[in-house]
Amino acid sequence: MSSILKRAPAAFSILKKKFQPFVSSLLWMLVVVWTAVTLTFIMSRLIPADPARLAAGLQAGQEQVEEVRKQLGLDRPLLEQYANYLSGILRFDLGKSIQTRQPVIDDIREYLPATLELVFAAFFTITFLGILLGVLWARFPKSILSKSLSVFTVLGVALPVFWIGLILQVIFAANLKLFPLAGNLPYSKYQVESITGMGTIDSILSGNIPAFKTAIFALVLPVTALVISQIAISIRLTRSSMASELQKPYINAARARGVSEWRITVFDALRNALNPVITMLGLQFGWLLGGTILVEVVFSWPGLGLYAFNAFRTFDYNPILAITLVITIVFVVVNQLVSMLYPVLDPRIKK
Amino acid sequence: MKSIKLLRIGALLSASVFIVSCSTSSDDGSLDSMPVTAVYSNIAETPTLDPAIIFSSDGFVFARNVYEGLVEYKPGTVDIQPLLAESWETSEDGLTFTFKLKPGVKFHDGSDLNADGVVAALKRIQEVNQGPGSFMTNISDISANGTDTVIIKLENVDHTFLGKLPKLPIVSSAAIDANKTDSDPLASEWFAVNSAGTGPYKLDNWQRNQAINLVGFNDYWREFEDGTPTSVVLRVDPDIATAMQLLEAGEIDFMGSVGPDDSARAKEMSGVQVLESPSYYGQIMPMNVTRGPLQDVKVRKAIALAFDYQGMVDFYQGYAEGSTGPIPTGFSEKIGERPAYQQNIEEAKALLAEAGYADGFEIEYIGLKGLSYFEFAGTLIEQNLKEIGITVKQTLIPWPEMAAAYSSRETAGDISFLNMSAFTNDAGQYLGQAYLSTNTGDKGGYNWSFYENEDLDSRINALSQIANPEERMAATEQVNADIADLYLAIYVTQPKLAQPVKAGWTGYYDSLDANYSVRFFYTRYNG
Repeated sequence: MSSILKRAPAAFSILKKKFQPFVSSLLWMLVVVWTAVTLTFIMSRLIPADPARLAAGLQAGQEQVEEVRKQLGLDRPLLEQYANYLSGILRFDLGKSIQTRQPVIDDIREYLPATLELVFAAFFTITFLGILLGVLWARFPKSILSKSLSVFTVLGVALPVFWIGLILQVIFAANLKLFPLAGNLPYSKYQVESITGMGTIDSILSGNIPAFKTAIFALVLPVTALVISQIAISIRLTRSSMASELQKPYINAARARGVSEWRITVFDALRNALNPVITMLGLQFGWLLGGTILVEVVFSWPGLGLYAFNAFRTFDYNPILAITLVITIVFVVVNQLVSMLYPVLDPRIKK
Repeated sequence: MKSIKLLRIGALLSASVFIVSCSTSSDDGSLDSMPVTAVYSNIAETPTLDPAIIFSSDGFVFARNVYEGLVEYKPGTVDIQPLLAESWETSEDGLTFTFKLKPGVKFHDGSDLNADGVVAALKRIQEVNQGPGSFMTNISDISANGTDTVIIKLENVDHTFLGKLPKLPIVSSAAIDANKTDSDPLASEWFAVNSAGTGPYKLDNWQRNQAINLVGFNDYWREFEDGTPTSVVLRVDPDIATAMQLLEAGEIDFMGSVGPDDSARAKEMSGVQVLESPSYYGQIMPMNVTRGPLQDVKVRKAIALAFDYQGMVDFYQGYAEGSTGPIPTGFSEKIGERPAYQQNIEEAKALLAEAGYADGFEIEYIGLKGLSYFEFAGTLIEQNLKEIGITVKQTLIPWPEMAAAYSSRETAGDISFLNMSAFTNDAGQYLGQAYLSTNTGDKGGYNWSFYENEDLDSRINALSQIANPEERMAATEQVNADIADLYLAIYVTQPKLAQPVKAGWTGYYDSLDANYSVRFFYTRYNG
């Protein structure tokens, strides 16, 4: 008994050591999210706009506007509004949209899946293609592929994403008719039940092959627009990171030992070159979530971006705050996951 | 421009295949005999389906197809015709209206139209007190007499009252009763996402941010003629460029929210026609009369004379005409006969010198960001006023900020830009929006000149009390002329209501419903 008691503090300190990094990073994440929400709250109230008047409609008299203001709680002191909002978040209550009068959490639940579908598809394409093309560029710097990549990546960054989207629509949808111009899977037309809200997954779950094909085709153009505008960074970063790895002595040593070039590239150089790329990809996931707004507008894609677009247009406070919250949480969580990946790729970091 | 050429080639290659709907309900043969689907695309989606709240074009296009009022405007005109009320009488003192309801009308939820239900529906709009509620402020009592008679009493005489009734949609009182709760006695939460009207179309489903799907109502009290849409899709395409491509590809039939500049572009597209409907709206640049040189009517007249009206008409490439004053010319022949405004720089300079401002001054133009014609008008006035020595500082902001800026005299600009729409056939009501002292920006209205004059107020308010329509119009024309002489605004132009529509359709857009609404029961497809 006494030995157990004696051992308890030791066990506690081991536990503490094990969980301290986790707890501190969790606290850190909370601080980041709180800061983002608070800053957005302050900014939204600083902008001289009157959402109650907009919600009440064009012909509304002053009395009607005041009625709407009261309903929305916008007549309360700012500090009280802020306190209400924070306590709401803890209860998973993000308030009601000024425009739709519906709980924002329901709207987010409805719109987030379509956006995630777009973002995941773009993210995996960027990860796979970005790393592949970056490696090829580093490996064969004088090839035609590398030269065209150096032009393409500059173009991709320089062109506005909505313009890329429009051009893709004109060529591949309006003229060649290969893909639909706009919209995602028309659920009611294919009689697919919305389970996850992601057209591709729902059509698989309901075993509807034509619907699956439509869902994939609908994804191609918006995803391509996102990929073209965002892939440059991962290609260029992979290339520079790989190029510097390939210069290192251990590569020469491996070559001297007769290891095949393919093995050297993939198992030695790439693994060591990936750390900065993975960090960047983590950040890029967050950017994709924000960058999808314009793509969704151009392609009438019914996701969070379109919802955000309407919320910004009408200064609908609660959705704007909720979207900030969602994007921040995703950003923070993905980056946390990325930092957990480092030790897997590079055992030295464990120390 | 290149993309348009490519588009044209694409459209030539493509055959305009008409989308035939498979989604009409099958339990009634009459609607299935010739299914026609009308696909309507708008840049925004209505935030709510509640007809007691809806008050913008994206909502009107839903409410006017699903719900009906006691009377309605005859399509393409401002004449009143019976709808849910088959006849009505007005008392001699002009204060009591007695409506006889049409028999055999059913709501989408299966309940029957009766007088008690109409009373409950109208009272609901009054109690919600938003949007269309503003048309009910003069009503003192609504009551039922038997099952088929509704009596509406007014506080003050209003001979234009009938024109307000198309704006008051009748919902099913059975649906109110079935869906109300203690905390929501008006069933507002239910009506925000569901519907129960008597209209030709009923809500099939709403895929948020994508489309509101409507299907023909099998028990509708009128017959669907050949070519009348049997189902309607109200879809959202926030980017006009995308919507135009969809139109040319034959995927959409009607468009909402298209400005006159885009209409000119659409006319060039194959398989697309530009449908013109009578327009009862005008674009004005209100001048803030509360401070500085703009307090002087001579200065305001000089500014109005310096403006390049033809430049604005040219900008719209034939889809606009010059204004003749505050009221759009569609309201009366006499207003149409007034001379349209013309630029006259020399006279403007002379007037400015007479007012003591020969050296000019600086003013601020507050316009809406992102709308081409707002930006064009801003640049035009900046150039025009430079010629008479006035410097214009342009501030372009989004609409929420613009509305907020004009909610106080201090933050309001010197000159701004407004689209003035008529909501009823009452020209006096149109004038009231922009010139009554009870409607100044700081009181939540669109009198953005902040002009206040008790005499003018009483003259505008008295118009609706004139029983004889000709006399009323004559008095309105006089008030219109007198307001014009005050130069409270630049009467920029009267854009035409011209919307791109797929070839083969006939019908009208409803100017009195914020321009972009269509009642599909009155459209026909014969392509």
